[in-house]
Amino acid sequence: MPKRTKHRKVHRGRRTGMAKGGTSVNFGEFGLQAMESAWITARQIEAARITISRTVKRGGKVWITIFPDKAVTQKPAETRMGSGKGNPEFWVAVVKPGRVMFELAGVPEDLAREALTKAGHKLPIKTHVITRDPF
Amino acid sequence: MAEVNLKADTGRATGSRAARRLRKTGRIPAVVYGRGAEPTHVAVDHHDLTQAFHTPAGANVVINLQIDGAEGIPTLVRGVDRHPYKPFIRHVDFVRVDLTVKVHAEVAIHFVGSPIGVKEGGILVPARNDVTVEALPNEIPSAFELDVSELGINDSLHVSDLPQAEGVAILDSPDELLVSVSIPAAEPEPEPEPVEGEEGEGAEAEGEEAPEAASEEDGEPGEE
Repeated sequence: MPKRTKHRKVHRGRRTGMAKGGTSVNFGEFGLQAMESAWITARQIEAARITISRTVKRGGKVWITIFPDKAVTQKPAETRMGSGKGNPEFWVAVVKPGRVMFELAGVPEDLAREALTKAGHKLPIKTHVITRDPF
Repeated sequence: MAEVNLKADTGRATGSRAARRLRKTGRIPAVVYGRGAEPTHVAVDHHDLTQAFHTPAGANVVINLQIDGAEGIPTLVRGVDRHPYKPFIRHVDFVRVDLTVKVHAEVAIHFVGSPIGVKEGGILVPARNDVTVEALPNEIPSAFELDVSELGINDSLHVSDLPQAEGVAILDSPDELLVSVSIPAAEPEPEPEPVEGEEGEGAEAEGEEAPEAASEEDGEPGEE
């Protein structure tokens, strides 16, 4: 989550269309690409990261190319409507189809695919593993 | 360097709706420009184009573009617009080239071998995967092979370490880093999983982050 923000509460926005950038592997050799749009929470990102590092065990370098910079608010349970917007409860990254979320380098391809596939299972969207070379 | 023939047709309608209809028929919109001639809007077959990229030359293949059945014009692919997550090409830019005039191109680097440093626990981290070269269109190398097997931990290779190819000038700075072997960052020890009796405590600790962050900044009175 961000250290400080300009505004504590933000509008939900719309998740139409596809990713404008960040659709290719730029740092590592393999990447985990989103095929749907979603709000990925900071906890989901962390869960996926832990899965990658546990699968790879040792070696390998991981890049997380999304950042949860959007605060999501919720009203307390059993509260009447009105009285303003709820409190910020968690942070999300807005992800659209095509966005590369994790990148991995320094491990064999089969291990990288296994790690990223397992990481994809921690996320609420369909994903697939891509490589740097598009051809 | 291999040369590939590719058929192209002019007379396609322009605009996003026409382009979408064209893509549904298995053809993709493209444009040909360069060497002082007027840009030409053409359509090429998607399958034939992807086959053209599968030569050893990759994206730097010289494509003889046969526009409306005419004699092939030598071209290079300058821009490829891909679908964000499907394996489709949406649009291509072809630039006309003179086979006797040098051009700039991006050439991939293939790292060959298993570094000594990796066997000792390091990680091979590529800093760059391609370099810019100047060469005749037919002499652009398909890739540079860089032997990394001698690299120990904290060793690195730079652009100056690339093998020299005849007629090919590398335009990037010789000092630029290509690949290094680094020591992996220490992974924090995983926290022991809570024992069943302490489940409530564990769950509480897990949920600390967000509410705490919220209450710190929260100036509003609580709800009823």
